[in-house]
Amino acid sequence: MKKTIIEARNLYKEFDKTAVVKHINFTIAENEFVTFLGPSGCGKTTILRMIAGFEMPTSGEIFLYDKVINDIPAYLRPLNTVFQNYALFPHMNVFENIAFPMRLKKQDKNSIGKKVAQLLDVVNLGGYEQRDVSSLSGGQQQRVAIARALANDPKVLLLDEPLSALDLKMRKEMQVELKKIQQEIKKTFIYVTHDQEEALTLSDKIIVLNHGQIQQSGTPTDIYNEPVNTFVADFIGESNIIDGSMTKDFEVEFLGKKFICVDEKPDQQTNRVIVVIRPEDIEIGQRQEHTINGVVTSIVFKGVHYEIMVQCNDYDFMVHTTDYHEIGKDVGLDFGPDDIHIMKAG
Amino acid sequence: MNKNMRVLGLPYVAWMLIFICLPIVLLGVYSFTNNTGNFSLENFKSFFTPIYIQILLNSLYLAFISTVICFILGYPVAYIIAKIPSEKTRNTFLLLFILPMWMNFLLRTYSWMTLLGNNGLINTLLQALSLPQLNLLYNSGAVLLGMVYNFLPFMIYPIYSILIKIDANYAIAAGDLGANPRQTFMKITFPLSIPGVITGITMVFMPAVSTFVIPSLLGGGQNMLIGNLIEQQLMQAGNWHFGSAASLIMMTIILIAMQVMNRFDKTQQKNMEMLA
Amino acid sequence: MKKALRNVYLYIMLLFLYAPILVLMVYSFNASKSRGQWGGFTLEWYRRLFMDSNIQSALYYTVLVAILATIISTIVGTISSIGIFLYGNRVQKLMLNVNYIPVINPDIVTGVSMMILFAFMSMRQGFATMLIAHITFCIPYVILSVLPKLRQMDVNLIEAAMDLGARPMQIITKVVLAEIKPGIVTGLLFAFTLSIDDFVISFFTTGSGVSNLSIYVYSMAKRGISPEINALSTLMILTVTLLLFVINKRNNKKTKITGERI
Repeated sequence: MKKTIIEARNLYKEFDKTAVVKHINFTIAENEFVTFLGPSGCGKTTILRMIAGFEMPTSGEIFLYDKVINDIPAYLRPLNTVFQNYALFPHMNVFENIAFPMRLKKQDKNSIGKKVAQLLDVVNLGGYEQRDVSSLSGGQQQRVAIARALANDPKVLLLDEPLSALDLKMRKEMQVELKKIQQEIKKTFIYVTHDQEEALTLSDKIIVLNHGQIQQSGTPTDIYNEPVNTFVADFIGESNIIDGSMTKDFEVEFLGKKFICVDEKPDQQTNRVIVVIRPEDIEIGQRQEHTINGVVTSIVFKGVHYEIMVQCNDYDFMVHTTDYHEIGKDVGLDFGPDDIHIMKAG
Repeated sequence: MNKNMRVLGLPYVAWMLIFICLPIVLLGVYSFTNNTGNFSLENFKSFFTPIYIQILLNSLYLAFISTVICFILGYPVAYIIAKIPSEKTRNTFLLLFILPMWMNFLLRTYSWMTLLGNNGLINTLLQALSLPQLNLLYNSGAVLLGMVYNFLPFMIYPIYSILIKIDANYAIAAGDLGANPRQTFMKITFPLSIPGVITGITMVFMPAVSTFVIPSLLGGGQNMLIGNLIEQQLMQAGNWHFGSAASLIMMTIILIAMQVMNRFDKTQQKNMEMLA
Repeated sequence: MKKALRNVYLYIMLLFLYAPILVLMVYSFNASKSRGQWGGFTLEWYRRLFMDSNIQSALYYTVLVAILATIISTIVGTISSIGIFLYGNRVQKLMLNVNYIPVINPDIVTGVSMMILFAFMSMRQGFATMLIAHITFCIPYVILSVLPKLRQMDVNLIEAAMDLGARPMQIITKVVLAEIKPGIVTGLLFAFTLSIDDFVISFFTTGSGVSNLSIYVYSMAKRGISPEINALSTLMILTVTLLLFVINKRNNKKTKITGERI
């Protein structure tokens, strides 16, 4: 069991009487890469800013190891932030930006010089010391921001949507780079993003948020394969969400057909359930006795697979498949027991 | 930097209270008291008598006429400069037209004395051509000329600033939709430039109403405007109470005029936003 | 043809704006005291100007007041801007509205009301009162130049500095001042030009033999024109033009401000 470095207990924050973070609890272990994932306005950035010390919690505690840090000002917290827009000081060059925290601590020149060179190596920007920050590309600025945030040897690095200002290709590159840096320097990274793909790629642990509440936390695999509710299912990856009913465990009925599933009946009060099926888990083919039948209404090539919309009476299924099915074709959809996720009806 | 550092603003708050707010309050107190320090409306009563009303109206009239002339002369200047294609030429012309804004206003007024005086340049030239001399200085015309001359750049600059910001595509679109250049100007460019015109009007009208230097130097005392009245009451007659009342009345008129202009500007801005 | 007409109009207007000033300058070198005639080139009026102790004293006060008012209003204005910036919307708006009063109020009202204030405080009018008045009308322009720079500043820069270990005071000295420097310099130049150029407010707030160049020119001009005043005017105009040239050179490199003043 890894040691907990950051913990939130009953953390609550409101702005102008509007609750943004609603009594949440979480723990983050040492050297973990943890991502807060959620749509804009879900409170993820506020949580990060409370950890950094830019916002005071309205109530609840934040712990660093076993010490409450609520009242410690940002400049005394051993945590550093990489800002969404990098926030590099425009009146300083690359060297001075990275040296800034060390200069504040009045470290001697030699060790500052050595440390800056070492940090630039970590972020693959060796030799850029004297460059003007405005002359750097977005990706390079990002690296400088990371190097600067690491200059104080923080216990935790906080990253607020650090890749959102980059173009797609750069973003992919930086994802790999970030993961590499994290493994190399062995520090806790707390990452905030609304991009589920980024979260799945980078994280050891994902905390999914919506409306200031934690929806689910777990490994990327857990979250993707076993979403606990329709919000998570819908937000992470694409999902077909259908009303269904269960009269007994391990059997669900929806759109007039019965299927075997691996879940027990979630709620004894009602037979109503919600069925979630990932588009790539659907088998599309000939109509058969047990399949749900429909007609192809559109097909779009997505690079690796086709995205096919199939109209089945009153529900439109999204299907991802490598097979081509022309518009207007009659098809049948089939689902394996593992591919059907059952959730309590809201 | 945090909220505690708001205290940095406090010394200036004290300064503002003493040197900005208190003077205005005292001006009000002086206006509503008489020489014995008792509350009285007599300053206002004596102001609203024909002789002072005439001065006030004359000030408003000259300020109004000079504003109109500045607009008529200044708008084309701003428009022509804004249409110069080369940025360098455009900036040079703009600089030439706004440079006088920064030259001492007193000196600019004074410079007309050398031209208009009885043995100034114009009359000397007339004399040389054996033409009769003219009384150019010390009349309303000279005051008006002084106002237009001094405040013209204040009309040109704000109009230019707006014109240069108007997206050229509006005019192109209008032309594309069948408007001729005249229609494009009347229906697109001019309406969009109205905020600049309003700033220009404010920036000309306000100093024109309150000036006492121009009438004093070019009007020669016969043409008393409200600015002169205030100056005279405070510096010569020693009647501070009456002078304060006159200042207060002038300030009120200017504030009302600005409010009216602002309101006009706001509805105009709404129209602009809808257009944009 | 149309283009030519436009150019002609521009040049006529420029002639209108500059002819009086040029004539004034030319006359300052005219040996003949009667203004119409050209009596040959002379520097006599400039010589007399530099001998005139009244003018020397006026020049001294003009420059001294301008320098002191500029330094004080730049420092106070910058510090106050930071304070004002940190206030919430409503308080900030109120403070800015009051700050705006000297900018929109006609100079004569500012002058007269300060004159009354000094009488109320039993301050004898002279150098000190004139300096106070200049500081009062200069600070608002410094604030109006600095505050926009503070607002444009990326708030993340402040947070980044804080995050990296800078204490509140260090944030100001190491990050904020560097970020708003262009605004401070603009405000400083504004203050200096306004102070050195001011007539109306100085006229009402000075006394006991202290006058600046503008007041001196006014009192002379009221008696009619004199060649010495022409010479003095020429020097003042050239100085301001030179100053503006420097400002403009600087602005061309950075953001362009051409400044609105009344």
